[in-house]
Amino acid sequence: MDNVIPADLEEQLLSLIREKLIETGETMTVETDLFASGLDSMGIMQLMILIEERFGVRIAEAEVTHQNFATAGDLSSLVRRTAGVA
Amino acid sequence: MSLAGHRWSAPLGGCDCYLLALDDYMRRAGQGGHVGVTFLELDSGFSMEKLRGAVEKFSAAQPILRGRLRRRWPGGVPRWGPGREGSVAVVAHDIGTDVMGLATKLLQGEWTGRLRFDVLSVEEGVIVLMSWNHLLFDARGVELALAEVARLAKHPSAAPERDSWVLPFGGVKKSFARWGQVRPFLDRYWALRDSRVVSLGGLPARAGRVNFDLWHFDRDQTEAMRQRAAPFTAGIFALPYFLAVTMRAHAAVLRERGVAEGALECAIAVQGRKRGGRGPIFQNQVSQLFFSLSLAEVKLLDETVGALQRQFSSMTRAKCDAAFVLMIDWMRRLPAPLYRRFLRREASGQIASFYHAHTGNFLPDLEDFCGGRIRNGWHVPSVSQPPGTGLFFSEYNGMLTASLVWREGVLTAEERALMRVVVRNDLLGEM
Repeated sequence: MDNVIPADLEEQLLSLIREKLIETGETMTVETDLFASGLDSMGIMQLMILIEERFGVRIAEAEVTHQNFATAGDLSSLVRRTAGVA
Repeated sequence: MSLAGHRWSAPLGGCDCYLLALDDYMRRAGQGGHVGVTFLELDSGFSMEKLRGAVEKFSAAQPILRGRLRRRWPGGVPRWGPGREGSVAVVAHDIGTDVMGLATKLLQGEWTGRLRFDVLSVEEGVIVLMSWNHLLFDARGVELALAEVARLAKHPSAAPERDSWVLPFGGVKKSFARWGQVRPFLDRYWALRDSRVVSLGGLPARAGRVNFDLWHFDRDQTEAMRQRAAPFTAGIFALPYFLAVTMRAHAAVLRERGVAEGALECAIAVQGRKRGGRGPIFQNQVSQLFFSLSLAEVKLLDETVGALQRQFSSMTRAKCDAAFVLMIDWMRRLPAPLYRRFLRREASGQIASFYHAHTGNFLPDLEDFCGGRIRNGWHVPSVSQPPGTGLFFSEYNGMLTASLVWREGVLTAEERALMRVVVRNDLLGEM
């Protein structure tokens, strides 16, 4: 599957997280701490697969760290880096 | 969906029906119902009157707590409907009452109703035991109910929450259009069905009291544990890590008994509510992922975590959790004897090798309950036999609690001590 990285990746990731994974009464931004919002093992695994299905980017296990998944902003940097997009 | 009217009916969801079959299995084996007891340790600011007032309001707004289960016809979906009158029991006990003794008694499931509260005074303050029936609550639901009672106690004039139940899933026709989505569960089920699963309780099903041990870890120990786990979990994958620890503790006892072959299987509940989401208080909202390793594969901690992590990844990729939800949704109409037959065929008739869950942060948004500051809290669910054992974890404010639950006759004192050594060694590096 070819990867398709949109220009508004941060926003699309945020929408994906809000729609499928995390419900919070507060406004979620690209800086929101996803772990403090309830992201757990299952959520991370599902998020990796959603990213692969939506953007064609497979995240390597070695890249699955607290730091890379802390916020939608961090996650978008990881996706771009993995896809080889600056 | 409001159930506060005089005439109401609420169908059970797929997961509720699965747990109804397990509850039925346990009752028929003389093991009481499928219940749990949640502990809340509070300081002395707690007010009994606040608890009584809040529980009365909560109970009045939730007739499902007094509901009765019925099927309109043998192939119909079981439904909750109006039942007996009365409210949730709130019982104050004399000073000096044995907390563990009372909790053990409550875990036998011999009390009436679906929910009750017992309050005991201890030297450091108060302990509230909330006993609940798994037909209505999963662990997250229990915490939502506690949060609702806490809210009503803090704001006595507030209106009680009424939308506490949702209608489950789509119609049958719509479900059958999704046949292919069930396939991952069926593939896993058939692959595991004949894999010579072993458990510490073993067959046949026997009556026997539920017992439990509690292992508390303070903040320093829990932090040390987190740091020790980081290389295995990348700081985030708690599920395969704690499952591996639990599996190794069970494997150690099996090996001590001379069991060298067989598979260890465990169905891990996956919460269906969105993370951080509220969702309904009642109705179980979980799916399951079926993990399995042969005894030979349960090796050092890092190898065991790695093997489980690979299964976790492949089952999530195949969407096994969604497949199981759809499957049990279809199975809602199964008459009780057929559902029991399905359970008896799971995991070579053992249902599983053991039960295990890490329910995460306990009541993360609640600091006090009915005037008492929360010092700690955790869940202790009952377990069926087979498999006869369960190891459960939760964390409150940076302090981990592990609850080892077993049916009488399944574990000796020496075997429990061995499990404790393995768990502490894995989590803390103690020898």
